[in-house]
Amino acid sequence: MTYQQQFVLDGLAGAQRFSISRAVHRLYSAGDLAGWIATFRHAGASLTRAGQTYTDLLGAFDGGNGQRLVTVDHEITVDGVEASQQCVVLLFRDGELRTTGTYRDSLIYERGGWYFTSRELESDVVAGECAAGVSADISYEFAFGTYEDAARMVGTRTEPRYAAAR
Amino acid sequence: MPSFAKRQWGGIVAPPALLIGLLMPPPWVPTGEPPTASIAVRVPLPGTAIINASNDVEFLSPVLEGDRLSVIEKVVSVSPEKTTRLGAGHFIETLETYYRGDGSPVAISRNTLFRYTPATTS
Repeated sequence: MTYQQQFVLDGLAGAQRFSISRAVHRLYSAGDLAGWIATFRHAGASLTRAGQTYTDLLGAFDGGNGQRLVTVDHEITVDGVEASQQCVVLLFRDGELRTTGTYRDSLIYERGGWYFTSRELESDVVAGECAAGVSADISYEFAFGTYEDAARMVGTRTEPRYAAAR
Repeated sequence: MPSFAKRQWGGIVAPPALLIGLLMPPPWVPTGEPPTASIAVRVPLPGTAIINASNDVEFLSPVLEGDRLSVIEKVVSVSPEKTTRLGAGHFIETLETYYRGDGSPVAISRNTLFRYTPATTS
Protein backbone atom coordinates (compact mmCIF):
# COMPACT_ATOMS: atom_id res chain seq x y z
CA MET A 1 0.00 0.00 0.00
CA THR A 2 1.38 3.39 -0.93
CA TYR A 3 1.87 6.17 1.57
CA GLN A 4 -1.00 8.11 -0.04
CA GLN A 5 -3.35 5.10 0.12
CA GLN A 6 -2.47 4.51 3.78
CA PHE A 7 -2.98 8.22 4.55
CA VAL A 8 -6.44 8.22 2.98
CA LEU A 9 -7.39 4.93 4.68
CA ASP A 10 -6.24 6.23 8.06
CA GLY A 11 -8.31 9.39 7.63
CA LEU A 12 -11.36 7.42 6.57
CA ALA A 13 -10.84 4.94 9.41
CA GLY A 14 -10.62 7.73 11.97
CA ALA A 15 -13.86 9.30 10.80
CA GLN A 16 -15.66 5.94 10.85
CA ARG A 17 -14.41 5.05 14.30
CA PHE A 18 -15.62 8.36 15.71
CA SER A 19 -18.90 7.61 14.02
CA ILE A 20 -19.16 4.19 15.71
CA SER A 21 -18.22 5.71 19.07
CA ARG A 22 -20.97 8.30 18.78
CA ALA A 23 -23.44 5.66 17.58
CA VAL A 24 -22.71 3.19 20.40
CA HIS A 25 -23.11 5.85 23.05
CA ARG A 26 -26.38 7.13 21.58
CA LEU A 27 -27.71 3.56 21.41
CA TYR A 28 -26.60 2.92 25.01
CA SER A 29 -28.31 6.09 26.21
CA ALA A 30 -31.48 5.21 24.30
CA GLY A 31 -31.55 1.69 25.78
CA ASP A 32 -31.36 0.16 22.28
CA LEU A 33 -29.95 -3.28 23.08
CA ALA A 34 -30.03 -4.69 19.52
CA GLY A 35 -28.45 -1.59 18.02
CA TRP A 36 -25.80 -1.50 20.74
CA ILE A 37 -24.84 -5.15 20.18
CA ALA A 38 -24.60 -4.52 16.42
CA THR A 39 -21.67 -2.15 17.04
CA PHE A 40 -19.60 -5.14 18.19
CA ARG A 41 -18.16 -7.75 15.83
CA HIS A 42 -20.40 -10.75 15.20
CA ALA A 43 -18.43 -13.28 17.24
CA GLY A 44 -15.75 -13.19 19.90
CA ALA A 45 -16.46 -9.70 21.22
CA SER A 46 -16.24 -8.93 24.90
CA LEU A 47 -16.99 -6.17 27.35
CA THR A 48 -15.22 -5.82 30.69
CA ARG A 49 -16.74 -3.73 33.43
CA ALA A 50 -16.00 -3.60 37.15
CA GLY A 51 -13.54 -6.47 36.80
CA GLN A 52 -16.10 -8.76 35.17
CA THR A 53 -15.76 -9.82 31.53
CA TYR A 54 -18.90 -10.47 29.51
CA THR A 55 -18.72 -12.49 26.31
CA ASP A 56 -22.52 -12.69 26.23
CA LEU A 57 -23.26 -9.07 25.43
CA LEU A 58 -26.95 -9.52 26.19
CA GLY A 59 -26.06 -9.82 29.84
CA ALA A 60 -23.64 -6.90 29.71
CA PHE A 61 -26.04 -4.21 28.54
CA ASP A 62 -27.08 -1.77 31.24
CA GLY A 63 -28.01 1.26 29.15
CA GLY A 64 -31.18 3.34 28.96
CA ASN A 65 -33.16 4.26 32.07
CA GLY A 66 -32.45 7.96 31.87
CA GLN A 67 -28.74 7.51 31.41
CA ARG A 68 -26.58 9.49 29.01
CA LEU A 69 -23.16 8.17 28.13
CA VAL A 70 -20.64 10.73 26.91
CA THR A 71 -17.04 10.11 25.91
CA VAL A 72 -14.35 12.74 25.45
CA ASP A 73 -10.60 12.97 24.93
CA HIS A 74 -10.33 10.17 22.36
CA GLU A 75 -6.90 8.78 21.57
CA ILE A 76 -6.89 6.51 18.52
CA THR A 77 -4.21 4.32 16.98
CA VAL A 78 -4.66 2.52 13.66
CA ASP A 79 -2.72 -0.53 12.56
CA GLY A 80 -4.12 -1.78 9.26
CA VAL A 81 -7.57 -3.25 9.85
CA GLU A 82 -7.14 -3.12 13.62
CA ALA A 83 -7.35 -0.10 15.86
CA SER A 84 -7.30 0.80 19.51
CA GLN A 85 -9.06 3.65 21.22
CA GLN A 86 -8.90 5.14 24.68
CA CYS A 87 -11.32 7.77 25.89
CA VAL A 88 -12.74 9.27 29.06
CA VAL A 89 -16.29 8.26 30.01
CA LEU A 90 -18.88 10.45 31.70
CA LEU A 91 -22.12 8.72 32.68
CA PHE A 92 -25.06 10.91 33.60
CA ARG A 93 -28.36 9.76 35.06
CA ASP A 94 -31.33 12.09 35.03
CA GLY A 95 -28.95 14.94 34.33
CA GLU A 96 -26.59 14.22 37.22
CA LEU A 97 -23.04 12.96 36.78
CA ARG A 98 -23.00 9.50 38.36
CA THR A 99 -19.66 8.02 37.42
CA THR A 100 -16.52 8.67 35.38
CA GLY A 101 -13.92 6.33 33.99
CA THR A 102 -11.90 5.25 31.00
CA TYR A 103 -12.77 3.07 28.01
CA ARG A 104 -10.01 1.03 26.39
CA ASP A 105 -11.31 -0.33 23.11
CA SER A 106 -10.06 -2.62 20.38
CA LEU A 107 -11.71 -2.39 16.98
CA ILE A 108 -11.56 -4.26 13.70
CA TYR A 109 -12.46 -3.18 10.18
CA GLU A 110 -14.68 -5.76 8.49
CA ARG A 111 -17.89 -5.86 6.44
CA GLY A 112 -17.24 -2.28 5.31
CA GLY A 113 -17.10 -0.73 8.77
CA TRP A 114 -15.43 -0.66 12.17
CA TYR A 115 -16.66 -2.91 14.98
CA PHE A 116 -15.63 -3.26 18.60
CA THR A 117 -13.81 -6.48 19.40
CA SER A 118 -13.40 -5.59 23.06
CA ARG A 119 -14.29 -2.74 25.39
CA GLU A 120 -12.84 -2.38 28.86
CA LEU A 121 -14.40 0.14 31.19
CA GLU A 122 -12.37 1.13 34.21
CA SER A 123 -14.43 3.27 36.53
CA ASP A 124 -12.79 5.90 38.66
CA VAL A 125 -12.93 4.96 42.29
CA VAL A 126 -15.83 6.47 44.19
CA ALA A 127 -15.25 6.95 47.87
CA GLY A 128 -17.95 5.21 49.84
CA GLU A 129 -18.96 4.89 53.43
CA CYS A 130 -18.73 1.52 55.10
CA ALA A 131 -21.05 2.24 57.99
CA ALA A 132 -23.55 4.81 59.05
CA GLY A 133 -21.87 8.07 59.91
CA VAL A 134 -18.39 6.59 59.80
CA SER A 135 -16.03 7.65 57.05
CA ALA A 136 -14.38 4.70 55.40
CA ASP A 137 -10.67 4.23 54.95
CA ILE A 138 -11.53 1.89 52.11
CA SER A 139 -12.80 3.17 48.78
CA TYR A 140 -15.23 1.00 46.85
CA GLU A 141 -15.57 1.00 43.11
CA PHE A 142 -19.35 1.02 43.02
CA ALA A 143 -21.27 0.05 39.93
CA PHE A 144 -24.17 2.40 39.37
CA GLY A 145 -27.51 1.54 37.82
CA THR A 146 -31.18 1.05 38.51
CA TYR A 147 -33.03 -1.66 40.41
CA GLU A 148 -33.88 -3.24 37.05
CA ASP A 149 -30.16 -3.35 36.17
CA ALA A 150 -29.43 -4.95 39.53
CA ALA A 151 -32.22 -7.52 39.15
CA ARG A 152 -30.57 -8.72 35.92
CA MET A 153 -27.50 -9.64 37.95
CA VAL A 154 -29.39 -12.07 40.18
CA GLY A 155 -27.91 -15.52 39.62
CA THR A 156 -24.57 -14.13 38.38
CA ARG A 157 -21.56 -16.06 39.68
CA THR A 158 -17.98 -14.90 39.79
CA GLU A 159 -14.95 -16.83 38.68
CA PRO A 160 -13.08 -18.42 41.60
CA ARG A 161 -10.92 -16.00 43.54
CA TYR A 162 -7.90 -17.60 45.19
CA ALA A 163 -6.47 -16.73 48.57
CA ALA A 164 -2.94 -17.29 47.27
CA ALA A 165 -3.48 -14.77 44.47
CA ARG A 166 -3.33 -11.92 46.94
CA MET B 1 0.02 -30.93 69.26
CA PRO B 2 0.59 -31.35 65.49
CA SER B 3 0.52 -35.15 65.79
CA PHE B 4 -2.86 -35.05 67.55
CA ALA B 5 -4.23 -32.60 64.95
CA LYS B 6 -3.00 -34.82 62.14
CA ARG B 7 -4.60 -37.87 63.68
CA GLN B 8 -7.85 -36.08 64.56
CA TRP B 9 -8.44 -33.83 61.54
CA GLY B 10 -5.69 -34.69 59.05
CA GLY B 11 -3.54 -31.64 59.80
CA ILE B 12 -3.31 -28.40 61.75
CA VAL B 13 -6.69 -26.66 61.66
CA ALA B 14 -6.96 -22.97 60.78
CA PRO B 15 -9.33 -20.81 62.84
CA PRO B 16 -12.57 -21.04 60.81
CA ALA B 17 -13.44 -17.35 60.92
CA LEU B 18 -10.11 -16.52 59.23
CA LEU B 19 -11.47 -18.08 56.06
CA ILE B 20 -13.67 -15.10 55.28
CA GLY B 21 -10.86 -12.59 55.83
CA LEU B 22 -8.32 -14.55 53.81
CA LEU B 23 -10.52 -14.48 50.72
CA MET B 24 -11.90 -10.97 51.08
CA PRO B 25 -10.89 -8.82 48.09
CA PRO B 26 -7.95 -6.66 49.22
CA PRO B 27 -8.39 -2.88 48.91
CA TRP B 28 -4.81 -2.59 47.61
CA VAL B 29 -2.69 -4.99 45.58
CA PRO B 30 1.13 -4.86 45.81
CA THR B 31 1.50 -5.31 42.06
CA GLY B 32 -0.46 -2.11 41.46
CA GLU B 33 -3.32 -3.82 39.66
CA PRO B 34 -6.74 -2.33 40.31
CA PRO B 35 -8.45 -4.22 43.14
CA THR B 36 -11.52 -6.31 42.37
CA ALA B 37 -14.42 -5.44 44.59
CA SER B 38 -16.81 -7.98 46.02
CA ILE B 39 -19.69 -8.82 43.69
CA ALA B 40 -22.12 -7.15 46.12
CA VAL B 41 -20.46 -3.80 45.45
CA ARG B 42 -20.51 -4.44 41.69
CA VAL B 43 -24.30 -4.83 41.55
CA PRO B 44 -25.41 -1.70 39.65
CA LEU B 45 -27.59 0.39 41.95
CA PRO B 46 -27.95 3.95 43.13
CA GLY B 47 -26.31 4.79 46.42
CA THR B 48 -22.81 5.61 47.58
CA ALA B 49 -22.80 3.95 50.98
CA ILE B 50 -22.98 0.38 52.23
CA ILE B 51 -23.51 -1.31 55.54
CA ASN B 52 -23.52 -5.01 56.23
CA ALA B 53 -26.90 -6.13 57.50
CA SER B 54 -26.32 -9.81 58.24
CA ASN B 55 -23.90 -12.66 57.79
CA ASP B 56 -24.49 -16.37 58.33
CA VAL B 57 -21.66 -18.83 57.77
CA GLU B 58 -21.83 -22.61 57.79
CA PHE B 59 -18.47 -24.35 58.15
CA LEU B 60 -18.66 -27.74 56.46
CA SER B 61 -15.20 -29.12 57.15
CA PRO B 62 -11.98 -27.90 58.77
CA VAL B 63 -9.50 -25.82 56.78
CA LEU B 64 -6.07 -27.37 57.16
CA GLU B 65 -2.57 -26.00 56.89
CA GLY B 66 -1.50 -26.19 53.23
CA ASP B 67 -5.02 -26.06 51.77
CA ARG B 68 -5.31 -23.89 48.67
CA LEU B 69 -8.58 -22.00 48.99
CA SER B 70 -10.89 -20.28 46.57
CA VAL B 71 -14.27 -18.59 46.72
CA ILE B 72 -17.09 -18.16 44.21
CA GLU B 73 -19.60 -15.40 44.83
CA LYS B 74 -23.19 -15.39 43.59
CA VAL B 75 -25.89 -12.72 43.65
CA VAL B 76 -28.96 -14.34 45.23
CA SER B 77 -31.42 -11.46 45.37
CA VAL B 78 -31.81 -7.71 45.24
CA SER B 79 -34.71 -6.16 47.13
CA PRO B 80 -36.91 -3.39 45.79
CA GLU B 81 -36.11 -0.01 47.29
CA LYS B 82 -36.57 0.17 51.06
CA THR B 83 -36.44 3.28 53.16
CA THR B 84 -34.57 3.04 56.44
CA ARG B 85 -33.29 5.55 58.95
CA LEU B 86 -29.97 5.52 57.10
CA GLY B 87 -31.57 6.39 53.78
CA ALA B 88 -33.29 4.72 50.83
CA GLY B 89 -31.59 1.73 49.26
CA HIS B 90 -31.61 -1.94 48.38
CA PHE B 91 -30.68 -5.11 50.23
CA ILE B 92 -28.31 -7.34 48.24
CA GLU B 93 -28.10 -10.97 49.29
CA THR B 94 -25.04 -12.88 48.13
CA LEU B 95 -23.87 -16.44 48.60
CA GLU B 96 -20.16 -17.15 48.90
CA THR B 97 -19.03 -20.75 48.62
CA TYR B 98 -15.50 -21.49 49.78
CA TYR B 99 -13.60 -24.41 48.30
CA ARG B 100 -10.34 -26.20 48.92
CA GLY B 101 -8.05 -27.23 46.10
CA ASP B 102 -9.73 -30.61 45.57
CA GLY B 103 -13.02 -28.83 44.81
CA SER B 104 -14.81 -29.77 48.00
CA PRO B 105 -16.70 -26.94 49.72
CA VAL B 106 -15.40 -25.96 53.16
CA ALA B 107 -17.86 -23.18 54.00
CA ILE B 108 -20.96 -21.41 52.77
CA SER B 109 -21.61 -17.80 53.70
CA ARG B 110 -24.86 -15.91 53.17
CA ASN B 111 -24.42 -12.17 53.37
CA THR B 112 -26.86 -9.30 53.16
CA LEU B 113 -25.56 -5.84 52.36
CA PHE B 114 -27.57 -2.62 52.35
CA ARG B 115 -26.54 -0.23 49.57
CA TYR B 116 -28.11 3.17 50.08
CA THR B 117 -28.05 6.88 49.52
CA PRO B 118 -27.42 8.50 52.90
CA ALA B 119 -30.44 10.45 54.12
CA THR B 120 -29.75 14.15 54.42
CA THR B 121 -29.87 15.37 58.01
CA SER B 122 -31.66 18.61 58.73
